[in-house]
Amino acid sequence: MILDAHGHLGTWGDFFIPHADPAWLIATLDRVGISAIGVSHLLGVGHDARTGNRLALEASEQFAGRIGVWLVGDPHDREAVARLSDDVDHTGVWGVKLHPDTHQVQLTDERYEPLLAFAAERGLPVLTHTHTGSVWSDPALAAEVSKRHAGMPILLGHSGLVENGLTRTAAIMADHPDLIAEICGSQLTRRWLTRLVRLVGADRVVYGSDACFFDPRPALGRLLAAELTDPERDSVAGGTLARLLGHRLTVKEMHA
Amino acid sequence: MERTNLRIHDINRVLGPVPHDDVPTDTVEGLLSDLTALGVASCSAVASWQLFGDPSGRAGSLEGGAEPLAAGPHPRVRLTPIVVPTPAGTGWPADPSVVLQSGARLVRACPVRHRWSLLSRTASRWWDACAEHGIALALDLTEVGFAAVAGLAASRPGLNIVALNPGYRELRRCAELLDEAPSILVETGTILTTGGVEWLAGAFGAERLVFGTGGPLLDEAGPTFLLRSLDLPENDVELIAWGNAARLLEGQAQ
Repeated sequence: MILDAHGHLGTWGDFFIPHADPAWLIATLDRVGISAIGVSHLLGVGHDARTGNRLALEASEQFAGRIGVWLVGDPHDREAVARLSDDVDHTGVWGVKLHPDTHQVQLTDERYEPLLAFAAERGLPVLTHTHTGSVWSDPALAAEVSKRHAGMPILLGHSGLVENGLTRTAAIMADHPDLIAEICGSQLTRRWLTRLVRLVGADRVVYGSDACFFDPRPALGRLLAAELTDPERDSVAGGTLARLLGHRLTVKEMHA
Repeated sequence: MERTNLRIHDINRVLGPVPHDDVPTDTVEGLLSDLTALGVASCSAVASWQLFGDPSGRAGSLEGGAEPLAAGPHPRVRLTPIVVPTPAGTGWPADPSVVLQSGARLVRACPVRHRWSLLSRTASRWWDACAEHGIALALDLTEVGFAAVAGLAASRPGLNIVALNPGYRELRRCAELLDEAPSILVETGTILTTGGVEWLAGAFGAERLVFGTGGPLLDEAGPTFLLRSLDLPENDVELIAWGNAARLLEGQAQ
């Protein structure tokens, strides 16, 4: 079973995305054998989490069991926790998505704390964008948050993004067992994916594509070609994420 | 659907050690092994010493590296010389005739990295010679920018240009470039946004796209898998994977 931990729906301002609709995404997942994808809507990652979350939930209903939802937590929204509370019990919700760089709030900032406390209390995994060296989302900030909320899985979106930061991300993860490396990004190679798995273990790495920023196919190709054992590849492809999501994962039998 | 039997030529590889990583392609054997692991039949590669060191090979900078104007080190690997078309003995090779005599059909230029001007008088003379003799020029878009490639194409309509490494956010600029001049082909390896390769093929034709990855500096495996699973007619995929490169290299790709 292949699960894509990191996806999006919608368009984005600074570049042209030919296919931003869930139907294209599902057809492409079918084409390459991906069972389900967790998405946040790009409106939510950007300027309107309320609308973005609604659209993501609608897509999840339309493609039940194929599209999971990471509800975007907007640190600028005074009602964010109440809104998350309203939405969190929808079937298909996988967890909470944070994007400190677009919202320009440091992950350790007190404005994130109510959202993190909510996720911890409700047993929701958190997927946060990370970018090595970013004042908003450096992986070390996720480690600080993890110390405050022991037991809450935190998926490090992009694993810090840049190849030369991956060894540091792995070192940070070594001391923080709830941190999970998510592997989408424009700079990762199969060589570095192999190294990352060797450093942290396949049970702490999850496949993600960043669709529809990226086509879901290249990240899968990178995973399939990485020099991993079959059990390692299975864990990264879906096993690790399925364990983290538990009962929240309801994967429908593939259409293809 | 993955086309496992697709014949593929990667037009943008690097052979040899690189300064910032331990790469499996630091030797010819390593590169061949990497190609085989990905099911890629052959490649065009620049020698890493030309990319990261002195491209002229002076003062021992060629030592241990592949000679870019010699026959390829293996039938599956064609070398792409990086030329420096500058005056007064500062460039390499001394004259475009040296490239013509070598039989190279594709050259790479790095004007920003090597600090020269793409449209200088000397460089213009080179591009005229390349156009006249059907030698294509590869330029990295992240290095030279889209406008420079468009400007060169406009000034030398007979020169085939392979625009490398556009990046996943640049479909609009790729469209502008392909709209600008029929002599430009765009490399697909970094066109990784959703359905981007299919979209460009639909808008401008598969004959305008050529498969290349930039490996090992950039990921090779993802773009190769994408190529094999493109939602395009078989003939279009074969053009991108092999046919367009073979046309540029005049059938010399293995």
